Amino acid sequence: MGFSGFASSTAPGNLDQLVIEQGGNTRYVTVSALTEAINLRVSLSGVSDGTQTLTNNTWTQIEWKTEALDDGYTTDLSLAPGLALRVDETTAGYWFVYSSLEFAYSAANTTPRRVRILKNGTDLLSGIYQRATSASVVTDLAAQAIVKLEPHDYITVEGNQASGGNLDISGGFFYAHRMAL
Amino acid sequence: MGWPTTSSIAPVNSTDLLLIEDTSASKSKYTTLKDLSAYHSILIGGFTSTTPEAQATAHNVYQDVKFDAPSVDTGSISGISSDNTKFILLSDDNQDGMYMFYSEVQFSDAGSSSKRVEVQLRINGSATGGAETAYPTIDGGPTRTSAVSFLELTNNDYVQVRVKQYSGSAGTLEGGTVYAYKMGPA
Repeated sequence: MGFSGFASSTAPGNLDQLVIEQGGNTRYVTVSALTEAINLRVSLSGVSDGTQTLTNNTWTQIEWKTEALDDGYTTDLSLAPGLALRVDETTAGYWFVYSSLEFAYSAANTTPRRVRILKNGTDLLSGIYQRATSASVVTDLAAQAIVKLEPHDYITVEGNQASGGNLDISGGFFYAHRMAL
Repeated sequence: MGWPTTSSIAPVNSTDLLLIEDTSASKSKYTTLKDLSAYHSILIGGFTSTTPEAQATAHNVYQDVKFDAPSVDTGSISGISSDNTKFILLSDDNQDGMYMFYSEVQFSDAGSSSKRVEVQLRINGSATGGAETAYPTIDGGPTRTSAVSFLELTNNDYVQVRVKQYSGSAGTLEGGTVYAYKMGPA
């Protein structure tokens, strides 16, 4: 749909302002600023020390190493290691969450690799469980979900493998995007 | 958060009001920012091994997965058919538009190391291109895989999740989920 669908006498422009009533006061805000305020983003990358070792057949919480983006103060890795996302009163809402994990290759290439995303440590939002790709190539798995988060809810990512011994997560990525208040 | 210094308002709150013009009534009105942002409606449905009960899957036969009614629907846009297999875009509110659908389904271990499983997203009974196959699957545990697709929907269109397993014997669907997100108007 083009902009002509609106009953507006003005052309699209990034300096347009919207009228907001906040606490009884009339304010103005640009369209782009309002959009950014609603659509918060978070991204994390890497795992602790470049790799994270998973013991056999044990769900293990991923410990993120780097916070690449957080425009809503929704995550603080120094205060809450392992939390991919935590919201408060100003960042609660409907969030899209996504995570991919890269499992090191193993001779036990017919055994499971698993990734899952949890809310508040218990609620399964998404999980992908498949066999390893091969004995000589890493296996990447990704999970994703949309979830309504109330203040103080948090998201974690867990990995699991059943190769028969220890196996490393050699890389990982997480991102989240608030889609609606 | 990078709130612009030129703005005189605090970071957006769900109770803030936004002034809009209702062109059909030639009136100015207020809507909450929460309602406005939720116009991009989200619906989430799902089932577990107990709600409803686990679903049997025959070898090499496509079947439509049964889901609970959506547990989250910010726009009251969706219905589910009486057989619990179709998510329907209701016609009582104009919700035509572009949607992203995602589904994942967990298949039981059927004891074969060479089996494969498939998840499809379908619109009005036809495949959409949103399909994924896991092959070979896990021997000795459940396999869980997903499918995702962008769909353009109009009133009364419906979306289904269709699966097939090729293990050589009967299996079970142990759980799954589906969600959809309206990306914008048609």
